[in-house]
Amino acid sequence: MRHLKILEFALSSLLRRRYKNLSLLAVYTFTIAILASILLLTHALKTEASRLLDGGPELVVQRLSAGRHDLISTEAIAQIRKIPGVTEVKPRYWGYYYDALVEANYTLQGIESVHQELTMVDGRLPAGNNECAIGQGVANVRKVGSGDDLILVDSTNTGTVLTVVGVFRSESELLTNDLVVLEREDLIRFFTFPPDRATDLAVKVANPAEINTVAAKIKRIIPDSRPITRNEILQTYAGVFNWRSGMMLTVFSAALIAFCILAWDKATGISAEEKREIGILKALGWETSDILELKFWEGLVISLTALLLGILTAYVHVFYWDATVLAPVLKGWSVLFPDFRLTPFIDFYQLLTIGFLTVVPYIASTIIPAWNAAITDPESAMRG
Amino acid sequence: MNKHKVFIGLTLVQTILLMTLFLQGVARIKTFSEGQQPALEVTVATLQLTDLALWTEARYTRHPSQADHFTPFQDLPSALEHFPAGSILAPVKGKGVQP
Amino acid sequence: MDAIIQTDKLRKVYNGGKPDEFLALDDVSLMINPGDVAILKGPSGAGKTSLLSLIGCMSRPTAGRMIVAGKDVAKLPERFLTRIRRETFGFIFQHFNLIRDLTVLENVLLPLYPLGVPFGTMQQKGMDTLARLGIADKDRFKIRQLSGGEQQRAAIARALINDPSIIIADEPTAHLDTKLSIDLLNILEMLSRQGKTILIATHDPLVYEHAMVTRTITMKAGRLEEVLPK
Repeated sequence: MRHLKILEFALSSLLRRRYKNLSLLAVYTFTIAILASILLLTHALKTEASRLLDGGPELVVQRLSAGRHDLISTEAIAQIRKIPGVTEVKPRYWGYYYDALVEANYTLQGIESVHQELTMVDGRLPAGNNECAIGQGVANVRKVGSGDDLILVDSTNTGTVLTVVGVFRSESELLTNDLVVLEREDLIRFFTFPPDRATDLAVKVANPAEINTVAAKIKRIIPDSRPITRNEILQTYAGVFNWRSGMMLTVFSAALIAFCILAWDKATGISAEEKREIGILKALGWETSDILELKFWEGLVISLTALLLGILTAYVHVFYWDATVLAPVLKGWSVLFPDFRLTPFIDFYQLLTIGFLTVVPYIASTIIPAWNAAITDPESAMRG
Repeated sequence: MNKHKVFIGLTLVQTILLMTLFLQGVARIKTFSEGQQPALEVTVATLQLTDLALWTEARYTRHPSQADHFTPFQDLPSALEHFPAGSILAPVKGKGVQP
Repeated sequence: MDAIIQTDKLRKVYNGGKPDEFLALDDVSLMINPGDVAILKGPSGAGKTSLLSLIGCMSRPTAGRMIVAGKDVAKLPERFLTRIRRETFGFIFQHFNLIRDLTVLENVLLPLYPLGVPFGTMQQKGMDTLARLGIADKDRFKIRQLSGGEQQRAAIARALINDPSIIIADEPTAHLDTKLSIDLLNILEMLSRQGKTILIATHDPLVYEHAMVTRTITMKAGRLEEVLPK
């Protein structure tokens, strides 16, 4: 088949400028790998978030004071309980703790004494005073494990000694990495919450279709409240890593500019030597379509190889190597940051888009400049 | 005269490798859905969690779903975003219920 | 005998309508018979290369008729022109026009790639042709690794790979020393004895005074001055 012969010649042609083409391939592959890594990572994170957080509270009711989040009165529980459709209202007690020792922020979470045991905990959840279960990140940074003591200093500069009775397993890091779970009374005492205050309220609604209606009613009866629906929570994570966010925009812009420079360099005309060669081929009996096919193969070989290698690299990087290259970039200033042991949820549409956007323009920028020489009389092409 | 065979061979190998990884991924998703996911969902329900424990730099990066709209301005009205994670999180448009 | 090449009032203008318009050929009518070894003589700018280009179907005449191997080619569409060029002509260019970073074999096989000939057959043909010219052992060498004489032979091998009936050579000895020039002429003589028609543009007396020459066409300023024998 003559196409294979032209492919053979295209490969010979590319190998003539071996180092230049290998460098081009390397840069191209690297760019695709970075882009694809970001897309794979963010999609997997978003999918996992939406799957897991779907089991969270249907409605969370916060209170705002002077524009800031403030503790909510537990009297609101009775008010909200009366709203038709509401099946349960539970106060949530949680807050943040800055550990000066390791310069890390923890999330302190209070739970009721009576609770379900979790398979995601090595050990158990706290069942009495001065006990805690901690996330893997806390355990690592404070170098404590089950049976050890964790000392937290409250606002009166008094140390509270908590015995670690359970450590969350690393499979749950994405959810529990910075958690310190205490018995509710311990948490209230630690943060010196007033007796009738909670951080916020978790509301259960019988009919999911009524959540927004209930939220609106809560807003009406408690004007300084701010209800947050589960849908809004999930939307937050669907929108995280939005392409408009600073980092994504920077990376995508850089990649786009790189491609444009590449395409411009190729499209601003072929060299005199290349024109001469096309003239020689035409003189030797190559038709215009043969020459264009040659250029097509030259473009496809580089761009397809870069695409496949780039996606392979990205996939292995994100789903087998825990995104070790990207993680430090995404980590920001967080001292505690979970390992990205992600499940490979993939949006094939995204990968197809990368493929289309990388292969097609490159092939076009290889064929189009050669077009003029390809349709010219061989004599003029050879004279230059 | 074998360069085309080498190229086609290499391309096929890469494609097969990719397909294998994708198929393995499908299997991993199944394992996750049947194994870890239910346990994690119970964790979320028991602890009433609303956010992933990703960025522990600031309140609004740790609990982005709970943060208020004008959080980056929490210090002063024209304060610029100063946590790196803020450049990754985009503000969510169109929240259903206004504060 | 029917002429293998016949031109009638051929005219070629370059850059027509532009300020640098140039009349390269005017009113060129000639006939070449099969088996002829025809020389195109004349000073630089006489139009020798332009005439060879037209005859070799590498460009189109501005006016006039041209019949090659029985086909009227002046107004043929490009793909038919290409096919005729491929099947009928073998070109030996002044500067050889070999592709320097390809191997000898790859260069020689260039005319065959788009034809869909099986790889094995291609390889065999290439090696046979190289062997005929005594450079079969250089098949994997890059062109830049060859001597001048070897490059010349590679260029000739490429011209012969499709077994053309007409060989066109444009100033083939211009950059060769006497020894290599004589080698080249010996090869051309051998091809002539095999029945090939040969057209050579030259102002080298070593060539136009050679015994194998059957026709001498003298040109000046784009026109035919003299054709011998008449």
